[in-house]
Amino acid sequence: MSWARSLHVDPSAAAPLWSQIEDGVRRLVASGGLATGTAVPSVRDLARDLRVNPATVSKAYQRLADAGVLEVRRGDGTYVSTTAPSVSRGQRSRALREAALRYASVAATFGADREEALDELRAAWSELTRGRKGDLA
Amino acid sequence: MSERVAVRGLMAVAAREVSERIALLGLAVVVAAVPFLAPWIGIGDRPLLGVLLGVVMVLAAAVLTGSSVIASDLAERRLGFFFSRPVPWWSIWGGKMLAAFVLTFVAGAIVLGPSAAVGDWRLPGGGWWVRIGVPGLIAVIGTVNVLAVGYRARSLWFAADLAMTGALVWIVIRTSRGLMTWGVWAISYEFITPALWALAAAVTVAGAAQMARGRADITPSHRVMSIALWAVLTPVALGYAAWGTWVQRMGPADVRSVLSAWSAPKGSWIVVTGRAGWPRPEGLSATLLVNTSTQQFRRLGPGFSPLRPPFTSDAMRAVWVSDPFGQKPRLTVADLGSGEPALTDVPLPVPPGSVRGFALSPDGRQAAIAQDALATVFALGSQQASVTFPLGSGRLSAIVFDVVGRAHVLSARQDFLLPGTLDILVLDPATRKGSVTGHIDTRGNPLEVWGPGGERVAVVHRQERRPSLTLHDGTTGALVATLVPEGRAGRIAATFLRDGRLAVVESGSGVILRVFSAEGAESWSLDVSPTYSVTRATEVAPGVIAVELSFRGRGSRSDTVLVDETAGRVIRRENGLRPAASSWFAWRAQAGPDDGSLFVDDRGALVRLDIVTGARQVLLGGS
Amino acid sequence: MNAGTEGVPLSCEHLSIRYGGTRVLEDVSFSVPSGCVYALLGRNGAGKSSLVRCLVGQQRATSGRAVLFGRDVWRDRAALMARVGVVPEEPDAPPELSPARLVALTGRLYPRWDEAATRERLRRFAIPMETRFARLSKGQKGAVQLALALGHAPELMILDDPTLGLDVVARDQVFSEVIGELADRGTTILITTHDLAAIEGIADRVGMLREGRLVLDESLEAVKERYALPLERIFADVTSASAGGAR
Repeated sequence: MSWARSLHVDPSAAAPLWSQIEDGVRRLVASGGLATGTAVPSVRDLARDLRVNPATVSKAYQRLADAGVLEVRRGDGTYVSTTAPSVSRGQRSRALREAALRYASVAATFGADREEALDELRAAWSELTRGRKGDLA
Repeated sequence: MSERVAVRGLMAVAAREVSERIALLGLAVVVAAVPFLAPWIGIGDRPLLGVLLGVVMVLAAAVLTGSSVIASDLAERRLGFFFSRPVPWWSIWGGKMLAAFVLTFVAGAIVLGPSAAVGDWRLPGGGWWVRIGVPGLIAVIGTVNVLAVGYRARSLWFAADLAMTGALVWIVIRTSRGLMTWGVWAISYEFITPALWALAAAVTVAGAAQMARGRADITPSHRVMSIALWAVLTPVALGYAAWGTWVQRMGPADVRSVLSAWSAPKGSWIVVTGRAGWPRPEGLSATLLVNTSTQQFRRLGPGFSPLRPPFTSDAMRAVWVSDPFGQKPRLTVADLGSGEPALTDVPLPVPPGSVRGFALSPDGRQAAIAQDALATVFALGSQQASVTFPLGSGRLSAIVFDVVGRAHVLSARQDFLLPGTLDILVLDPATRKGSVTGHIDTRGNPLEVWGPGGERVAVVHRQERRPSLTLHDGTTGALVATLVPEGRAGRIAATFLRDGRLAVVESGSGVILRVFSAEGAESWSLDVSPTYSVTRATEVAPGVIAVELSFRGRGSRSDTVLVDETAGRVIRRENGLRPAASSWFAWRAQAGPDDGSLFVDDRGALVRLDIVTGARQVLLGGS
Repeated sequence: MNAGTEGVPLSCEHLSIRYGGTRVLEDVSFSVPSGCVYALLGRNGAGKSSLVRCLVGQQRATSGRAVLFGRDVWRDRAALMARVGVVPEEPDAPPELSPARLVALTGRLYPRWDEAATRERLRRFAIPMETRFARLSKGQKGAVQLALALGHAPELMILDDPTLGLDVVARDQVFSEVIGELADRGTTILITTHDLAAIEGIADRVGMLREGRLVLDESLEAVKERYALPLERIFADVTSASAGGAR
């Protein structure tokens, strides 16, 4: 599973591993590196590839399934959702707000002002949409 | 579940150990072939060589397997492999020990088998296996295991182990040697077998404890093993020592069969030598000083001395040589005056070596000792000898004092079995000089008997073949008379009576008792028995000679014929009695008159016989 | 066994080990809940090996006890080892046996044993089945010991420095196998190690020993949240000889 490395999971990083995995999968799905309907590796296999605790992978998968990014087909495995995540408006705006707050805190900690923060945001968005063909670092 | 797995695990462990050492069995095959292939071995010797190689093979296999099955894995930290599996400690220990036994046994069988088949000898029976084979094998393998673990642990406990070993070995050897001086054969099967079983049990317990409690770590293993080992062996060794001490504390009540006894010139004191019975071990015999009226007693020592301990003429003291045939004989004086006799060791100013003859002067103040090559006279209690004189060696030399306090002894110039000359030596403590005062010619193999006060000496020549008996002056050696010429008798026994006359028993086609005067004139002779027997005579009471007739093939039965020494007539024949003063062991020793009327009956009891009525009073002993 | 009376798979209760005057472990207490991966860290000489020996019932603690599945492991070692797989730091398999014979031997020491799975594992590790154990490389030896410790499908695994001296490939094999066990069976795992980077992804809880005392015993998440540092740095801080440590 070569795209396992593209998840950029770093055990020594501060962020919890499950969060890193979740973010990584989200990023891949968003950038097109992981097409809809593709099968994702089993918890066991991904854990072995990443060399992380299967419980960690399991937790990330669970959260992604709850968020609608992944869907579990009984007896078949886990796949990237074909349908857009069907979240309620409230859930969606809550998720966006949470992520935005996180980003804003980081930016503020580094002393960036709102303009700089917004510039960075735009650049990141471009990068994300630009690398639809599979952005492997 | 667990029992099955445990046993299966045990077998698996054993199988691994055996397969790892399979080369040992290959070696056994090669060794088994050696007696048959080696061209220089004679056919008749092959089984013997096979047995020798077999024994060596068994020992080598026991040592090799015993020292490695456990110690190797333990020292190299590999026992954890087994301890991290669900098998109990005894599976691991049992499997390894089983492998050691199987390998040793099979290696031995491979080498011994062909030799047994060819050499027509049988394997020892079940009794040997129980007594030596099984405990011996367990002990060897177990001991080697303990040694190997102790050695490889490299801890200070090993020094403690060595110290304990030394201490217990010293205790056991000291006890065994003590027992052996008392006549107990402490290296017989009766002793070796329990010792082997005790050792086998101790090393088994130690090995099991190591595996159960020390487990995979060698240092705590060694400690646990040592503690278990000494916890078993120490009580055994101490128990043995205690038993040995108890055994040696033999008293008159423990005497089963009396060997000999002598009484004091007056009073109730007697000296008894007798053998103990169960529960004391076979072979134990002691010499006891016993007061027959008060039952007080003192142990004088082991019962082997052929030297009758002299009493002083006032019966106030007895003097005793202990360990006469050992390297360090000691002289003890028993003071009979007070209630419980006091024993005092007094100096024995003689060089080291066996004591063959011993005498006390009539006043009890001088003592004479005859050794292999030296005769010594000294004042009793003195550290210094008054007189010494060299003796011809190799004879049991009786030594006596005459009425003026000089010691007389015979000395052979050369090999005493050959015809030659005997010198009479007289040692005078007053002048502190010894000298040769006379000579006696002998046909060879002489046996002398001294008369009272050393006035006369009777010599039996060539007792083993056509003996003769001559009577000589006790100082000059001049021949007084030839009392029994060569060829008349098959055996001759002579004893002096209190009044200086000589009683001679000749055995040949019958038994004849003769009494001669001090000048060699025959007083009377008496046919005692028409049949041949080995006989001796002793004066057992004033005026009474006891002639002992012992019969081969009738167990230890003897009969005694009591003879009136004045009239020369038989008083009575007592069946199943023999005089106590003359023991077969001491038959070459100087036997003198004894007034105690002491006899030993068939059952080994010491009996006082009333000569007149024939009533027998048992004093002690008898089963 | 009634899970209710069993408690946690592994629990250390006030464990102390002293050799003569030397204190190797002092009052160590921690427990590993079911399904948890516990990483025990500590410098050499901090007492890890002695602790592991106590945990597998091969050494008796001076005071306190080691408890597996609710039972004192020194007393009930034989019964408990049916549920525990142990991989020691130093390979201790009989050196003259080949992996094939080792599988056979070990299988007879367990009531339940999956010979096929063990052989499959060894094939996956590319272990030569007929070479004497002594002649295998360190990595191969470790792989064999691991396979032999997994053949009875243990509920609890205790690994003492499993990656010491191994190359990257061998290390990966070990962890891959461990993770597989975790995923398949939810095995409870205790690992002692220096390889902080490797276990950082796998461990749920972390314990740190310094000079015989347990100075840290928390979930990995909580530790990282508190220190906001890589585990390596935290470890260096907490276990450095110059005291202080905790922030």
